[in-house]
Amino acid sequence: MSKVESVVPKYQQMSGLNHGQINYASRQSFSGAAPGADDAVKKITQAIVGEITEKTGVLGKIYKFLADKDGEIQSQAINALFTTTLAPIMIAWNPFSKQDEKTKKYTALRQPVSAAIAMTGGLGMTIATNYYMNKMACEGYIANVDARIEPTKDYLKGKFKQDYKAASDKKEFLEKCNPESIKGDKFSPNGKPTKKYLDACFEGYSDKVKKERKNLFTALIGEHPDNIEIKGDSEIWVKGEKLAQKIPNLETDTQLKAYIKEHNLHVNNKLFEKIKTEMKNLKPNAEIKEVAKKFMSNKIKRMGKDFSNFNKYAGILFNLFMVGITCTALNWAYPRFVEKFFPHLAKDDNPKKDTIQKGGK
Amino acid sequence: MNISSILYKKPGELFNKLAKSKWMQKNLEQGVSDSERFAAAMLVTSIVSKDLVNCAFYTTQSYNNQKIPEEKRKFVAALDLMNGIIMVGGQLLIGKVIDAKVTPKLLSKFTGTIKDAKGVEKTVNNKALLHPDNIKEMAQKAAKNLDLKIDDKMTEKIVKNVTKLCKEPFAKGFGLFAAAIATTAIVKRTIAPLLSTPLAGWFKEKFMDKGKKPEINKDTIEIESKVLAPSYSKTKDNKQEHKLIKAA
Repeated sequence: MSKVESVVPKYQQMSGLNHGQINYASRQSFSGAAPGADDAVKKITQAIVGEITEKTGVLGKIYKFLADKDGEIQSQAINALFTTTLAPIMIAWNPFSKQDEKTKKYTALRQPVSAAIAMTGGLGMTIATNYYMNKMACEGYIANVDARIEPTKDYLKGKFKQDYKAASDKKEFLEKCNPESIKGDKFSPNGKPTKKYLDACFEGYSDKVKKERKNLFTALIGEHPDNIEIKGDSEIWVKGEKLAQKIPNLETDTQLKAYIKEHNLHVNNKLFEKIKTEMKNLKPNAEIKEVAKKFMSNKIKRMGKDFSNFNKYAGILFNLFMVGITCTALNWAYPRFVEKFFPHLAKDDNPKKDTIQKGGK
Repeated sequence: MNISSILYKKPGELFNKLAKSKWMQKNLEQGVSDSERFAAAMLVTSIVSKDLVNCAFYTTQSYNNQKIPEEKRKFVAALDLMNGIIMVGGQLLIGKVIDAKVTPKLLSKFTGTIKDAKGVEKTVNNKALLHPDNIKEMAQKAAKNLDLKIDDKMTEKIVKNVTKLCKEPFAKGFGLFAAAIATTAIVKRTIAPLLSTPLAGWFKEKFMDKGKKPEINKDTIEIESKVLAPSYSKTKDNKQEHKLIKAA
């Protein structure tokens, strides 16, 4: 008897649970709410959110915007905003500086140019980094933040565009993505799909992919390896049922086995201990496999959040390389910019008296 | 070795090592358990790390710019260094103070709670807009207005939903706003430009002019006037730079 097998019955004895037993009654009681309760909760929540939004006013909207758009692009935008607005004022009216007005203006102009260059370079690098990191995580190259089961929106958008372009019958492809009808026109007079229709199709495509992969992940938990196989065109079959196809780097038996091992999908001792902790919050006779599935689905969510946060570090790291390029670009562009658009400031009337003040790059 | 291995497999292994490291795991844990503070910390980290690289880049560039006479070159490099030190040190310091003292106190006016030294949330005002007790009260009023009946379980669910939809984004956005104003607006774009010039003169005299007679202020001002512009460009055809070097 393996260690796992010896631990499982012991725990089941403690909880009065037979292996494999599914207690449907207890599972129903988890979500057993009065009819219409969810609707009432939704309506009241909406009313309170509306009231709070009104009370917090413009500041509340700013905070929400900042929270929603949190990331590397935001940090660059904030930096650029103050570099363009505050820094030139502080340089042009610096009381500790003894330079003449013309020189101060000349130097102050450097700030918006610097912000524009930094923002352009930073934005380009951030977009490229996001693309690269999304591909890495959503194709399983970074095991610890593996997002293959719940791919990010950006990654799925790229895949949707790729699949749409590759489809021989584009209308059929879109129909398959979004079988639900949408209000308004699906196609414009020139035969191209409307933006609204494409957005709805992407949502359908995204839901379909996520659902399929989540089902696969849940099916793999605790499943015997003999019941899992790869067939034909990278199709993954579990217990004779085809669950998914062409998941990046899950296309061979070796890759699938490595994935199962990496994510502890077999209930081992370590996982079992974690599950026991989780069990405390559930009904005593809940089935172990069900709890394991719940535990693992939380793990998927956590991996998604972890990737989003890990990506912020990657964004900073890649952008540090960009700093050198933007510095050089600024050195090249700034004098030319002033000479072209503000020639009177670039003209050196009296170099002996002329002074330059730096500060704040 | 194929292209996929070079572009993804090997870098993926490196990134995985980084993601698995204790330091990163600790930070990722904070990203989930305390996303509000994590977001503000990441904003400061992002800005400060770039300033640090910028400072190193500009200081080295100025110090090694052979077109600037040696004596004058030192002042330019000192200015770049002082600017960097004030920006990096000041932002780190103020970022820490804002995160630990200012944000929680100001935020508690809206949330009605504040964390003590052990990280346990304490109620300071249960009538505050985003306090769970106030949300419960609002839920009762809303239920009455909408002619709906709610029990304790439903009320708890409403509190949870409202917290997720309002309190969490509010706290996160507030933290980001406070960090941005304090670090970027105040330290980087107000204090640093004001103080870096006088401090650069002091630094040069104190640490770079060892064994030389201290220069009078007039000279320092003149040095400033003649050499700062060239550090902006190393290009040969920069007329401004040539004029100033000639004047020097």
